[in-house]
Amino acid sequence: MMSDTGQEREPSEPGDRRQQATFGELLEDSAEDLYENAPCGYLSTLLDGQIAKVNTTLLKWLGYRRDELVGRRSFSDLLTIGGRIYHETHFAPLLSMQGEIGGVALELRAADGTRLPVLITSTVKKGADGQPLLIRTTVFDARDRRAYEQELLRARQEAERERERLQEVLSILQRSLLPPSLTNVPGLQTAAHYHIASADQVGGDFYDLFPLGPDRWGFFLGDVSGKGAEAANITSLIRHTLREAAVHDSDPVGVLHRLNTAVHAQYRSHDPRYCTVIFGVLTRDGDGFTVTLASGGHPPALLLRGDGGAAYLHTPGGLLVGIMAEASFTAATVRLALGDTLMLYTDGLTEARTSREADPMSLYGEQSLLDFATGLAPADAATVITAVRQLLAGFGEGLDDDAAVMALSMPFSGGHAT
Amino acid sequence: MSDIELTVETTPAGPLLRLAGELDYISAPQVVEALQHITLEPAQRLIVDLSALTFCDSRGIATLIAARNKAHAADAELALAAVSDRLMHIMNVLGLSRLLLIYPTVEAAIGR
Repeated sequence: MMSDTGQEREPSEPGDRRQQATFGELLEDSAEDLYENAPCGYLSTLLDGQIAKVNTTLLKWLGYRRDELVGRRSFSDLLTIGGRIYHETHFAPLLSMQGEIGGVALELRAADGTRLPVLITSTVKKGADGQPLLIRTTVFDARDRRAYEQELLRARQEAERERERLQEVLSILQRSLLPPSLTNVPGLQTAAHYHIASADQVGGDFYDLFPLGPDRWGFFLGDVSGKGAEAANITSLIRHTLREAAVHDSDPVGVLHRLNTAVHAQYRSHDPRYCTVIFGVLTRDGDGFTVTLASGGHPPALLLRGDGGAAYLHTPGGLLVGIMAEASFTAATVRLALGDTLMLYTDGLTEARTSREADPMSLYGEQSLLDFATGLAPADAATVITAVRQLLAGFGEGLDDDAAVMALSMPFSGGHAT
Repeated sequence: MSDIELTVETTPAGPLLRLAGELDYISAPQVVEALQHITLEPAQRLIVDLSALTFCDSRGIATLIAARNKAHAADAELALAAVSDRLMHIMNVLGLSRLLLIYPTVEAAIGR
């Protein structure tokens, strides 16, 4: 081939010719050598499959001597049982119909019994009269490719199993972080809802209501920074600490200080963990309850009045819990009378995108929530939670964070837990 | 989504870190790393310019807190410049606005 090119060239310098001669030696001057030591296997078989010619490369791959194969074995002897069936039923018929077939993945059996994944291309060589004479086959080593494909398949199967396992663990974990049902407080109606944004991650919101004494109950609702296993760890720590601290300290501000110390001890500067939380104590007070609550960086609670209207219970200045060794928290006190409902929520609700046409990125916000509550009041806990569920559903994809809501009410018709 | 551009400058008051883009779970580690490379002398002020910040989530806020803690550990202080109304609202709710020095502009933050 090279000499042809040389002939086509314009008269050349003697130095040029010498260079061409060197190239000639370097390049494939021997078709025989190219055939024998090509980077792929070559195999010629008779129409009945008997091996007529095989190159050195393929012999090396398979570990056979030439005289073990040529004239003694057929192509299908080199295949695995599955490969043989495939060869008989698909490969050979297609080859005889089309005269060629390419890119077929098969496994060859080497002399030592190991399997060699290959890609096969075959063509039928015909005589001058058009009658088929031979089948020429090129064999490409597909070990890398097969390993890659198997790895992909294995990784995918493993990922699917992992995902299923994870989702199961997560749903169990999530349930363990939330009370199965809120404690029954005589005379009080309670309801809660947790919207989980992702089945793949434990959410960071939490709430609880638990007894502290004959006429006292503790409650909290909050939001941990981040998600996943780390968040679940901190959530577990927070729940434990709040329940424990509430037994020893009757002041919600004192309880948050204890929580702050516990969470701050887990502080990592490269990945700070903190939470926002409202913690409160309900004390029976004649025909109602006195609620004392303290906030650590949490959005304000809402009070829906029995005589209509709603207002935020502002607890300004309460610092989010766990970022500072020394923190300050503020308390607020409110009386829950007949028909009143106290509503706690996480910012997943107020930070939901409303996808209003005018401003698709606009957030629901505290004013909208106040308007919503004002429109509902008076409403008992169950009614509030039902309405909030509908509100959350209405956000559709605009709700991309977890949202937890808990409502405590003194219903006109006597309380029951839901 | 969460592309952030960081530039560090030097001012008479101390280093100035400008953040442009979104500060969230994805981009926060970049900022944390950048903070590690900023050296602070006692009494200096680390100024973080947020005028070009378009988004900041809880992880972003955690990063700003980390910046504050770094400054305090070096006997320096952190000042935020040009905090958006929305971020200011969140900082108010979180109780952070009393904890951090906040200035309307970088110039005001440098001026002391």
